[in-house]
Amino acid sequence: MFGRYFVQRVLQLIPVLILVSVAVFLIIRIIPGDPVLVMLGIDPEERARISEEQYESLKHQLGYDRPIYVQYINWVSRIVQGDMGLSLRSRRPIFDVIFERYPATLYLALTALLTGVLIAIPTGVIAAMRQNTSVDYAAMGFALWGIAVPNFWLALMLIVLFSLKLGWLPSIGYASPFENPWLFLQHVFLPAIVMGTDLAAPLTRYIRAEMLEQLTQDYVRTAWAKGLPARMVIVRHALKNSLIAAVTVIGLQTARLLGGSTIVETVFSWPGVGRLLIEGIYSRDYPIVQGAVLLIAVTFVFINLFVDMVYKWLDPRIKLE
Amino acid sequence: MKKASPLSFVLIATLCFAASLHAASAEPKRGGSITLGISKELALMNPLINTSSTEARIRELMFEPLLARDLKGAIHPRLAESWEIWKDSKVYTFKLRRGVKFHNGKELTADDIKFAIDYTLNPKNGAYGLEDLSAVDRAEVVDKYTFKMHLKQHNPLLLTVLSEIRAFSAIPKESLTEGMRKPTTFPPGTGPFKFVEWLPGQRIVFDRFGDYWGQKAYVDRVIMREIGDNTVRFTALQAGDVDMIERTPYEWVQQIVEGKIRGVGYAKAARAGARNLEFNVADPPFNNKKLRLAIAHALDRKEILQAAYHGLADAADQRFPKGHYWNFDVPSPAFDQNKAKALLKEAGYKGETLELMGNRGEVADIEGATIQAQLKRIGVKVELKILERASALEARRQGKYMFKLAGGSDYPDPLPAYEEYACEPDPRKRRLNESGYCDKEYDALLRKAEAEVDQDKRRTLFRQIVTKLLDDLPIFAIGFTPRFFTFRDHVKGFVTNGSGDFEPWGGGLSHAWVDK
Repeated sequence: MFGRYFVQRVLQLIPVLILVSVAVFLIIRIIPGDPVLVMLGIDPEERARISEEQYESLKHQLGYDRPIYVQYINWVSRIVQGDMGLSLRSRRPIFDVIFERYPATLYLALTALLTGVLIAIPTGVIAAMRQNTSVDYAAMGFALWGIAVPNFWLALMLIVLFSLKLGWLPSIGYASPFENPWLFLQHVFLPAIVMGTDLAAPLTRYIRAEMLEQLTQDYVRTAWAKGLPARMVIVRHALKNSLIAAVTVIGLQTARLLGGSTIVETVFSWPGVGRLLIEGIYSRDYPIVQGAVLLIAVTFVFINLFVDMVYKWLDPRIKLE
Repeated sequence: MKKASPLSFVLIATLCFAASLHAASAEPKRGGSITLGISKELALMNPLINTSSTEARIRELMFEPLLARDLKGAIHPRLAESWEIWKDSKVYTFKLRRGVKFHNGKELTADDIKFAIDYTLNPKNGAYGLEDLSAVDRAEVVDKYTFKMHLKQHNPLLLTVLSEIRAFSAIPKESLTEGMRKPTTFPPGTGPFKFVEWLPGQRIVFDRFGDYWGQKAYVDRVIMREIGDNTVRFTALQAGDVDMIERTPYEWVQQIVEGKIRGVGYAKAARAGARNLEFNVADPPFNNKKLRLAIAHALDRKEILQAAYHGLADAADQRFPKGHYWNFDVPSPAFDQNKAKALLKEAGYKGETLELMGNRGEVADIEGATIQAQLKRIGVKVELKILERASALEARRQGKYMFKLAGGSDYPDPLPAYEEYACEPDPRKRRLNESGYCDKEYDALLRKAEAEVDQDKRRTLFRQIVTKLLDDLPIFAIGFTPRFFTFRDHVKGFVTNGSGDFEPWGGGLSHAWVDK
């Protein structure tokens, strides 16, 4: 049963991935820009700096003179072989450029995930337990604020408070957790709070709502009736069942976090994939943008698959229509 | 309240005296490091190719051009100690300075210079200086310290070009390979700082080069950190995470000037950019000179600059600032609303709406709104048309606009600056001359100036050129836009030039020191 479900889901991914690759390939071309000028480091305003012949020969060399579908097929067939091409600006392989940035994004995503879950689960559970009390209102107020507050604003405010006014934490920068764990924690704290809030806000609401529902169920009443301690009833019974819905939210958010937050990474100068993507877009480095977006999209698709599998495992009744 | 004892007064007085002594000790100190917040990430480790402002910054620290240009624009020997010009200015012989070391310890020779020139001239390499060196036919090594440059024709700009690092810089022979594949590290340079490491997205590190032939840098280390967001970059400076930043937003600089932000100083590059109002003179309505003149008389430069640049920009009526060698004392339309109204009548203006084009993302909306308000005072209706950069560029190239706000570059020589208004063959495919201006007399003057070798005679010619341009008015200069470096108070001695270089001759980071 589980195996068949898995195969079905994987087969469904194929058209999704094809669509994703087409979108990724085309989207960057919608923005005006000229790959030849990008490579030569010539501003479009200074186009007169190169001769037409030199321009055409470079365009040919880069393959940008061929029809767009030929360019797409070439691109896809290279990607399948593990070659994502060269960055226009740095002329380094895209694979290297992206994967030297990936660890930073991964560490931040995991820290943010942990922060978010650590905030959301207790807050959601306590809010449900104390429904319609001031504790509940405070928790829901936090959730509403967390959803409404823009990332970049929160990030800037935290920098102003913790770096500028209090001087407790560095405003920007990065250190590897394996080389200098203490410095890493100092640097990761603020971005993790920002991204964690982003994750915790909706998650708190989900957990509270699910908990409220579970707490009215018969099996919970039975658990109370047979005299189980409160911790057992809440954690082992009600919370475990509430988490099924939360898994979807956590899964989707994880996929988002792993794609790197362009805003948070840019504000905190975090050397991740999100910032690389922004740099690529600004400088019209097509291959970088295509590579980074493809990576993000594929991560998203596979995490979705993973979430579905976990879902199925948590609740074996789930079937594919 | 406890009374202060006489002893404490003595103590305070001594402390004050010590503090003033400390402040007065302007003697540069060696050592320490400066962390710079830069706006863009490094991409390419090839000094002969340009890709972003950051590469240009790094080139200035690590590499050197043949000649130097000081803060006033005069040319001095640098890697080349002396030069002679032969055969109707078609052959230049350069003598290299002896004992100049690359960062790898090797001595600089004429072979290295020839290699850099050949690399630049090879179109397969996509070097940025190819256009700058287009007059050069070939380089020839005479002996270890002597080489010749043979020119296709006389080029009055050659020495100026050779004083710019973007034309080419000295790198060891064979340190770059032909083609578009690029190196994975910087080739060694001869500059005051040598490359140590680059961690993408994190930092780029340089150390003082102990064997530098010229004045050695004061600081031991320069670290660059990319902080893309302007506000965060300034906050990081205030928080002490970096010592100095480039491209500080005007609103912060204004607060520093007004004394609202303390502990931070600034260095101004007064001419990092220029702002102009350019008319499309090939088509109506601005093919009417009187209308152009009416607009020019109606505009108050100071007000426009105050609104858009927080009063930090300098007004200008020519491409070069007052007091500059290439600025001339010639008549230009002054702010005079009555004259403007009279000219408007003569021009036959009947209340048509004039479209003013600008680029999105610049301050064109503020400048444009100010111009709109000023022209309304003389009864001219203006509609703002702010376009995306690429669309604006296309409209300009095809001459599909009435008048526009435009940026301008800081040129070291007037020839390329005024060449921008030379006739072009197709008014619907404009290259440099976006105004569509075409005047035989103007072109003839330019050609004379191009062929002229004598500097005084050139100056006379350019005076005529500027006079002609100010009379025909295809362009109305508004002013120069500054750029600001800001730094913590412990960074001393940093001086930049008009265009905002990190390492201009006689200033820059190698002259900066840390007083902590």
